Amino acid sequence: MDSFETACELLPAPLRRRIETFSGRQPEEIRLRLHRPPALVLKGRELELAGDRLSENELTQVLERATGASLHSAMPAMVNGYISYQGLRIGLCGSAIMNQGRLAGFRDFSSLAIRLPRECRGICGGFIDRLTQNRLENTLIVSPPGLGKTTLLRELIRVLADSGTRVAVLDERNELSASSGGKQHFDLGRCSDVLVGIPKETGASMLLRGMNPQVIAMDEISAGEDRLVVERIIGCGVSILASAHGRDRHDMLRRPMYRDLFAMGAFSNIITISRDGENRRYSLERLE
Amino acid sequence: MTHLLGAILIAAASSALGFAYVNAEKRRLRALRSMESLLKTVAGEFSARLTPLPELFSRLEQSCDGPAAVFAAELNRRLNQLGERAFHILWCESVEIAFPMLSGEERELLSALGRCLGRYELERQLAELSLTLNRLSAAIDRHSVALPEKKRLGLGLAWTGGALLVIVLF
Repeated sequence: MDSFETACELLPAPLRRRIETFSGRQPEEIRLRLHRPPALVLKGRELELAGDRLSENELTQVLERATGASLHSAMPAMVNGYISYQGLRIGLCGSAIMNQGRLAGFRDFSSLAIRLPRECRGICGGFIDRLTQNRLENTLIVSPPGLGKTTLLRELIRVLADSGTRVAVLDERNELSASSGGKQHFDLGRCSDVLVGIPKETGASMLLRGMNPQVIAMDEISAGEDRLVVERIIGCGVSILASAHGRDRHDMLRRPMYRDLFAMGAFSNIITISRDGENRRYSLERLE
Repeated sequence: MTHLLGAILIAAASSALGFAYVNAEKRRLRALRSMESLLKTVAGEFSARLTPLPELFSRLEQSCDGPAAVFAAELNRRLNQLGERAFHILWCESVEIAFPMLSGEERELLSALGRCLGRYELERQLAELSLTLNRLSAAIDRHSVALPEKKRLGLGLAWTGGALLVIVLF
């Protein structure tokens, strides 16, 4: 079952019937907003569907399906702004609930964004040889949200792991592997080991101690403590493959964490993803 | 001889009515106690493990006794309709099927909990569970205190009614 079918499974029948007609057009996201018609993101552009507006009941039913009517179980992820369902990331907006100054969750949901991940085999064919001349050089994938950082990272992991490199995957948000019931929905290659649902700092230590990895891959390094994780991994002589939000190298250099990481030579390569009409463009840049 | 047989039959029937009434009251009390036990488990699992409801009710179906086990099984069976039908509707249907022995007010107390469970943040769900448990506990206390009196009253009325019928008829 592909991610679009999985997403359609979440929708109440009348809504599902409206959206399923777009299955051949490879939507990137399904966006549900209260009192607005549902919308699809197709090739980066949002298309609002004609017809009925979404009711509160329909939004609640989607959430009940996605969480098994158990918002309390999904709350720890929800405070990060999303929940996961079989490899889909469902972004949420609504009224925040604050508890002693900390975000404790949401209620009165107003928007859901169901992102549809997909496997894109062969997208790293143009530069994989340049990244792995002797062994994988530390590489950072950079792009704004929604351009396919995770998809490229997943494909790089698969290609490396299938070529015999031991890749330990630190899948904090279960987006890279989309594991459920012990099964991975995405193929991450024959020599990959996946650690799911654990903060990067703890997970990196576990992988370094226990799995003897040649490469550690992780999605979206952004928090201050992620810098220490990167330093630790590199300090152990293990290559790192990571992704981060940003436009390009200049954009990253404006942010202290990345400026420091680049200054200490943590990454040898940056791959930036940009939109080129309806396609993606992948640019590999070597950092001196 | 016929009169004696008739009197015996009336006495037996009125006794059966009395016992049926007492048994119904006992079943009601058992149902309330079993649901109280189930809800205590739910509250404990929520606080300690944030267990999702499908996993929780799948286990409760095996571990509970009496009407609460029927309720857990009914709800668990219905949970695959999530997404098409709202959780609180599935919950209310399961309450109606598993607890026909409860009064309308008691069933409403249980149904009301379904409108909050799984839908709000943990603290609010725990507060609602606690409120429901307090009300259930109060209902159990009332029934426990009243049961001996109801037993005497039910059996007494049935036997008196039977005796009066025998006198009037014969």
